[in-house]
Amino acid sequence: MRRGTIFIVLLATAILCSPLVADPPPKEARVKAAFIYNFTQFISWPDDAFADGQAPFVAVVVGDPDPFLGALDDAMNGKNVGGRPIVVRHVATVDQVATCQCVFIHFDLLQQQASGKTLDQFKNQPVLVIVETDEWMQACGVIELFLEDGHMRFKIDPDVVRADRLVVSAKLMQLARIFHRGDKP
Amino acid sequence: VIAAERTWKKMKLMPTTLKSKLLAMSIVITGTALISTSVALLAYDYVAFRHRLIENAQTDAGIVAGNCTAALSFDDEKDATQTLASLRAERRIVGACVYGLDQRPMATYFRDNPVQVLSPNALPPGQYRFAADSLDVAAPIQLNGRRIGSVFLTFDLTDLHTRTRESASLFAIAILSAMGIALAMAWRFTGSILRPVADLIRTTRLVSVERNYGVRAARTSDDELGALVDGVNAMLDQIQHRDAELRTHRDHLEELVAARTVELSAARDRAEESNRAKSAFLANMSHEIRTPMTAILGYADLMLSPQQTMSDRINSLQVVQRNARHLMDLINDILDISKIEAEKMTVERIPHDVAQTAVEVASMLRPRALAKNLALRVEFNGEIPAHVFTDPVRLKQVLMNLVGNAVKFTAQGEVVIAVSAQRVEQPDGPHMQVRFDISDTGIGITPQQIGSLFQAFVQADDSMTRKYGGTGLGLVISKRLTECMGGQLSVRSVPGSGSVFSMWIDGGAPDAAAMRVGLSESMFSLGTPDEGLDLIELQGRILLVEDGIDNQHLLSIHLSSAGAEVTLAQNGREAIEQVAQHPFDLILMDMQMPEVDGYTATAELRRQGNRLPIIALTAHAMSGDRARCIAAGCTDYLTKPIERDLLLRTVASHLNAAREAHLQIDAAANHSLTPAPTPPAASSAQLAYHQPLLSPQSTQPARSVAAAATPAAAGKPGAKAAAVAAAMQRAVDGFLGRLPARIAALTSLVEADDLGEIQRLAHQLKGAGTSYGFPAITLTAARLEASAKAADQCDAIRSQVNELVQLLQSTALNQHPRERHA
Repeated sequence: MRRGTIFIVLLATAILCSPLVADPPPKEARVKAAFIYNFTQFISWPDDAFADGQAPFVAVVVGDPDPFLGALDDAMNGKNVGGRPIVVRHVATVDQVATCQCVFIHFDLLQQQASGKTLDQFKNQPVLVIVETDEWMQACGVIELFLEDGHMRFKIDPDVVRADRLVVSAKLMQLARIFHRGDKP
Repeated sequence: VIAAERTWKKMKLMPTTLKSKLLAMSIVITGTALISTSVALLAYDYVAFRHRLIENAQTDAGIVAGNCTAALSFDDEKDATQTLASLRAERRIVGACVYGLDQRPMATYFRDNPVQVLSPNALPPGQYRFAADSLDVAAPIQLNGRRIGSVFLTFDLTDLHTRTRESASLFAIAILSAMGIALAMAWRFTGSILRPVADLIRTTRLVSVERNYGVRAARTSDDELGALVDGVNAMLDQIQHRDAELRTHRDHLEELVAARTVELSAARDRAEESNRAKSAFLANMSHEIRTPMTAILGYADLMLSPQQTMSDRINSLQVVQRNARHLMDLINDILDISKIEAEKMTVERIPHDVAQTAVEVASMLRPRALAKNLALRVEFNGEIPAHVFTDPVRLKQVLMNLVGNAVKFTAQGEVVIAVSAQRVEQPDGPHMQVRFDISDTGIGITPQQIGSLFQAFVQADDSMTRKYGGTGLGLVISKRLTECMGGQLSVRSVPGSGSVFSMWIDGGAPDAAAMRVGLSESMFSLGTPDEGLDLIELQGRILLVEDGIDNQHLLSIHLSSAGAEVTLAQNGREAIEQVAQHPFDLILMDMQMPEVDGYTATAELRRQGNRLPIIALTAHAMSGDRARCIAAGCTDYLTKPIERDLLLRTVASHLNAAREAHLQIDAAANHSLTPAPTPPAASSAQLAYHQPLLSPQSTQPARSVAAAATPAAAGKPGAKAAAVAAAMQRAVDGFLGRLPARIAALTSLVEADDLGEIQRLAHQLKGAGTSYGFPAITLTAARLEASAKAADQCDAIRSQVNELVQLLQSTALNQHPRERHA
């Protein structure tokens, strides 16, 4: 009786308080963030990708506002890549991306900067560029995330991976769709 | 094994033969060993296999987990399902499932039927769990050290079970075949072990059933069974040996019994023979004794007849005397032979000149030989020792017998005593052997007679006894005495032409320095010439120490009649006093006297430095007594009853030796007056000798007789003999006259029970009886003395006293009338 009363009180409190807490990121953003983190676990970077042995793993999210709504920061928080702590930075445009090992480019950005500007700054650089469209894959993407039947899937361009001197785990390759530049969707 | 045995016993399946026991043992041991080993191996195999299974399962699970990492990371169910589907290659995996962290199965795989749905909470990752026939293994799926999910695999355990089953079957087969092989080998081995045992059993059965101790078990091995076989064989050897021994003994026993039976029957025959011989001897002796007794009694009666002249009476008396002497000889012989038969004969070994003995014997028997016109010679061949160790008395006895026989059985020719000596080597050193060969030219002895010559109680011929007289014991005694002296007596003879009796004696250790060569009979100076007793002349003063009045008288008469001057002493003390006061040439000492006896007196005299010859007079004829006398200091000794002849000869020899007088004896003039063997053969010399007894001088007292017996009378032997006979008669009369007093004394002593005095009186009578011609008194008195000395039963003493008294009375009565008539 008394226990029942306490339970009801607690439930009610939880329901009443929930609107006051910040909205959690939507599931898609969390899955994307998890995917991005998981990619870092199946890919190896060459040593010259880092300034030195102590340098952190820098992941940059391009887009303002944050396309992950903080989900990536959450996913990366307290984790590491090859023993290096992960630092997540947020920039507005691709130009603003400085030295880093992983870049996520939100698909909206293409539309904004369809000015014909080349994105050669990542070419042959050991930087994992994650995009969300085939155009970006044509431009500079290494991995493209996409939804299929409600499931998050991804493509990998092995040529770019090779050019960028990244090593992708066979397991990852097994799960991925293979993308080649010049292929028209 | 023990438990199994117990069970078998309980089930009455316990094997009964050694073979089945051994087989059962081998099976049990092999089975136990194999089964325990198999169980251990199976258990180990099962555990190891299971462990490997687990390890493999965990590895598989780990691989699957690794392969599923990407799929789970990127939520790729398809890929995960594909990954799991690849497990189909592994036959044992029947089910698999991949779980994310949300406990939702992302992918599953079932080999056949999706029967199991594994719950992610059922098993912590990294662990395993066994179900009845499956193994569940959980492995974590990790990404960069973080667990992102887990994989569950379910393995089929059929393999394990199959394998275990197969192993068990295999082991069972192996065990069974091993046990079979073991059984076969055990069968074979036990056969080889049991064969010798069976052999043994067969052997022992053969031995015990057939009693065949000759069979042996064959030894086939060198082990304990071999040793057992050896042992059994050794045992059989012993049994066989013993059996044979037993059989031999049994067979031998029969022989032994037969031999013993023969011996026994021989002994019985001998005993019967001996018994017969003794009976015959007794009959013979009775006859022998009765013959002289008849003569004695007859002539005694004759003498009592008033019609008899003195001459007739003298004749009768001579016959009586001769027959009495013969009786005495007979009794002495019987005593000797009894002693020998009872092995009581003792022989002395004292240094002695045997040549002297031979000459003496010849001298003593020469009168008899001369009477038969025979020559009697002594020859000495080679070296003769001065002394050998022997018994002179016994030697003389034997020689007297042999030479006497030779003289007796020789009608014409000669008798020769040949003496020789030689050294012989004995185990204890060299010995001197003295040999006497007594040869005659007499009637000889047939070989048949020789055979029984030395047997007791047998004379050569019964007719011989009648013809030649004698007891028939002389040769037996001689032979036995010779043997006692360490010698031998043998005889060879040619009937009709003569006999040679050869006697040798052991003379003890030789004394080389005292050997004499070239001896002859004439070289021996005889202190006691063998002559007529009436010719013995005694010159000297003799102290006679004697307590018994009879002996005093008798000895005084004998000595005085021979010319000696006799002084009397009643006992040893008196004797010592007399010796101190008067000079004497010789002492005759009775050894048993009241107050101071002869031994003490002699010893005392010797102690005082007296060197007079002392001749002991004893009643004991034992050699030990002689030694005692000599030890006390006596020069010689004489045994009672005293024989006149011997007494005078002994005294004369000592007187002569003492005086160193040269008494030349003319042997040729010596006509023997010794009584002839048979009354009809009495010589004229004998008649002449006795004739003068008829003269009235014969009633003269002893003193006067002694005075009359001077050397001047030597030429008239008849007168001298008459004087002696008269003296003798007086002495006998005196003895008889004293008898009534003694009878009274004895009677009163018996009343007073005075044993000591009875003994003394009996002793006197014993000594006197024979001396005066009454041997019966001596015998009866001797018995009484012995009884009194031993303090025998009073009844016996009393009856013996009565017997003696009656004897004395009858003697006195019988004698007195004769005296009256005389």
